[in-house]
Amino acid sequence: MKDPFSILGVDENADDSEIKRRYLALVRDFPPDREPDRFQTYRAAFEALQTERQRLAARLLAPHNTALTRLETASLPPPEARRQSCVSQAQLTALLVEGVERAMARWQEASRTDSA
Amino acid sequence: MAKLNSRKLLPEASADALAARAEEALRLGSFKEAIELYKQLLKQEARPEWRDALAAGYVGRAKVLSAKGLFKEAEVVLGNAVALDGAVREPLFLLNCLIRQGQIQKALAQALKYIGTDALAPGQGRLLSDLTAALYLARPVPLAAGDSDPPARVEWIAAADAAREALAALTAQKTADEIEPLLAKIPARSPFGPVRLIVKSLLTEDPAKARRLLDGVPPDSAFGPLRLAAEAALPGEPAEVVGRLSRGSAAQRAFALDQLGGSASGSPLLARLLDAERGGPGTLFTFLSKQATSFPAADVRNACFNLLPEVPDRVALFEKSFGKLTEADKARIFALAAEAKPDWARAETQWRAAAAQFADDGSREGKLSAGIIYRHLATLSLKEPEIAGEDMFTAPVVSYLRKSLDCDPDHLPAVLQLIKLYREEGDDKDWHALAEEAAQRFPTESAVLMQAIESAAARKAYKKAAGFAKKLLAVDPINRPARQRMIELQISHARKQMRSKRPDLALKELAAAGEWERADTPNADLRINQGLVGLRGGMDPQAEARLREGVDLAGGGAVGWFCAALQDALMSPPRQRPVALVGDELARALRGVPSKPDIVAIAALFSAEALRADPKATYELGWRFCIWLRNATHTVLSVAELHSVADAIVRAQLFDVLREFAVAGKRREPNERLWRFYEIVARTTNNPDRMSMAEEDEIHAMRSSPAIEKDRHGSGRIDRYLDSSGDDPGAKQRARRKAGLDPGDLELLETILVAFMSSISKRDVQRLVRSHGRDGAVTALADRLAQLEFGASVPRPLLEMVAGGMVATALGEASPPFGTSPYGGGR
Repeated sequence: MKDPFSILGVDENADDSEIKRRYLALVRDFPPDREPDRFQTYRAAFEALQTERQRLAARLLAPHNTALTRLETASLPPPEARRQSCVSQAQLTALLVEGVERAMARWQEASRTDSA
Repeated sequence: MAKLNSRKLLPEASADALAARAEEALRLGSFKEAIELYKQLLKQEARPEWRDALAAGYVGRAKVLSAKGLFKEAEVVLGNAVALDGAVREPLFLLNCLIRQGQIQKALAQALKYIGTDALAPGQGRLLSDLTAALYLARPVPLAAGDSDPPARVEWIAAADAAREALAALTAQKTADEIEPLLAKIPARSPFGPVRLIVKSLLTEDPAKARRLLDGVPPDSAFGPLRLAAEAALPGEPAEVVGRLSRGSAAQRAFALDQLGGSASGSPLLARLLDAERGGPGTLFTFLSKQATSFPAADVRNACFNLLPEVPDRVALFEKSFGKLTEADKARIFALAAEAKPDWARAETQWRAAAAQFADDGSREGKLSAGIIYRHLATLSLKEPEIAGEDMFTAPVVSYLRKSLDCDPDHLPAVLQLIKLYREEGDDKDWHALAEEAAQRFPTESAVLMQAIESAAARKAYKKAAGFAKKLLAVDPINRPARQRMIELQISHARKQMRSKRPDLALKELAAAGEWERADTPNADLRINQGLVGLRGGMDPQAEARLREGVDLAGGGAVGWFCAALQDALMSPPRQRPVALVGDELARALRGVPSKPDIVAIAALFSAEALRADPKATYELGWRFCIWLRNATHTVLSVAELHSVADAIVRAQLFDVLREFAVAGKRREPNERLWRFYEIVARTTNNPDRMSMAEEDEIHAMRSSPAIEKDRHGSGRIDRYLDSSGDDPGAKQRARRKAGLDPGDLELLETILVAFMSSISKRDVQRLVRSHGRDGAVTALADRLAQLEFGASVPRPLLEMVAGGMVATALGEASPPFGTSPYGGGR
């Protein structure tokens, strides 16, 4: 479960204006009519950080992972590094076998529940 | 053991007896025994039904083994079943055993035998076809349709071929233009349809389109991981991309990182970071603390700091690597760690230490932090009984809210919550003080001003209340509750004047009440009271018209005249007859049969606060209402509607009417348990002491049922009945009787004593003696005991005697009374 700072992608010391600016940018990119679930997540995070007391409470009363998220996002490859369809057969095999194994495990669980 | 016995007995037993035993063993799931018995039977005679039963025994045994994760052994046992006649009884089960052992090629060969046949039930056949499609694409083998193959198999093989070619083109990094025609050959509705969607999503530049395509692949299908991997590789908000990557399996992550260009840049570090995160907070802490050179130092420190509540044993290591933590930070870390355990007593201690440190630092942020922590403790104390609070005489929620306001007095929700608590606890002195103070601190807050009005009204400081109401209406001119409250207050004042035989002053009060009325929302009670005062005083020619107007506003008919009669009863001095017009009109209205809206509306009138406060004045009207209800017990009321009607009936003590409603309701809704509750209330005439054992069991089972737990009104009704705390005459009588406790009742006394002693710890009593002296401690302890559940009904001298005994025991001067361990249940 991400904390509201990480969801909005703001620093834990961000102030009112920074949080609002970031929230509005996210709403512009993911408007509620197109991405209702995502909008709800951003809205909830924004509402959880609207006042100074709320921000302080979010920092104090629960462990948050803002710094970790920052480290992780900073380690992401830059968008220009994205490669088009560089898929190997080994990767495909691993993912398909994973899918078959999971489907079989689910089937076994379901048949056990049915027989019980 | 069963096996040995069966072998020993076989030669002597007849085939029929053996067959019966074998059948029973199979039925009971004793597969090993069944297998042995059927083997013996088949040696005697090769009956087909015994062979099938033996095969069923093997399948059953194989399932037992696979449930234990012994897939290899399960496959061997299944092989025994196949050896009997060459038939595979449960192909999906065999496939499962092979796949779970990692025998992909063997599983594929086995699965391919069933493609295009109708050997399996449709559901199983579809699943097998989908699984085979994924298996085939994972490890493609040469496939060719034979001339005698059924059309379904031929189609499946053609689709498989097309999908394999498309994936081969993808892995060979062919262009989208080259891959698209191959994808077009894959029928969308075939088991290979997901390949089309996934490959298309990888080829498109538009992330929204890619997401839409991927949505067409169920995540729990055999192609699910490939879909999730493709989804994780979509561009997006960095935090979101990281979230998707961290949720994926190792294979999904490797695939997605490769697509995102990870192998070409610095993302091996990201992969390691995500792996460490997956390893848990300890692994992540260790990983991060060694990354000071790879990542910005401040972020590494903060990330490690944020992990400390999950790994509090690393605090020392953290301080060694990153420098000292403040005492407040350390206490906060240990408090969060204790909450996660959960160890509420320790969490409370640590939070208090943190709050004290924050408050002492003197900064605004420090004070706000302390306020936040105290409010957090107040909230926790409502959920966790282990949160003990600051002192033994104050509820923890109250003491923590007070502390929070000491640090952060401008936090409005805490002020309102504390006012509410004071009101609920009947702590009038603190309520009034806080309401006054809050009205000064928040002069433009409607909710605070409303509380100030209520507080002033409760103190009968009408002028003050009016002052607050004026302030409130200046801020919020429409505020209906405030206007209504002020009208009620002035009507109540007018009633007093009428009882003192001063209709002139009453009329003045009502004229003043009119100032609070909005022109567009005339007030029914005000009109009725103006009419009644006019008629009783004989000084207003418009009185009857005003009364009738008020009756119409109140709903007219029986409802309107009941409303008028109730208002009249509240204002008339004892033993005075009602206003003739009201009596006549009400009698006329009651000649008809009550309708459901009438019943519900009149019952609501009887629930009004003013009527509850003076039940004697309106008792006769309540009785008349219930007599009238006798004609309408067939009316379809819901349980929720009956709640308020039942209150009126119970106050009038017409239990036969209640019983008829309950029986009719039960007939209509047999599953609604509250009808049965009202039946019991009616039978016992609202006296829980008259319940039979069976009824008691029934009521307690009902009270603890999830449906009633969730129903606040229903559970409240049951509690009030069980506690005899209703406001009907019977409940009040019983409460009075209870107050006259018989001190000779040793058993009850012992129960009370044990309850008292287990509520206060020995250490707390000793602390009390140290702070108050011996006599002061006895008095304080007696006060405290009086607030406990039984305490209110115990005479003061007895309370002081018990308190004296507890002090003596705590000081080691006396042994515990009744041989009980006095502080066994203490905190």
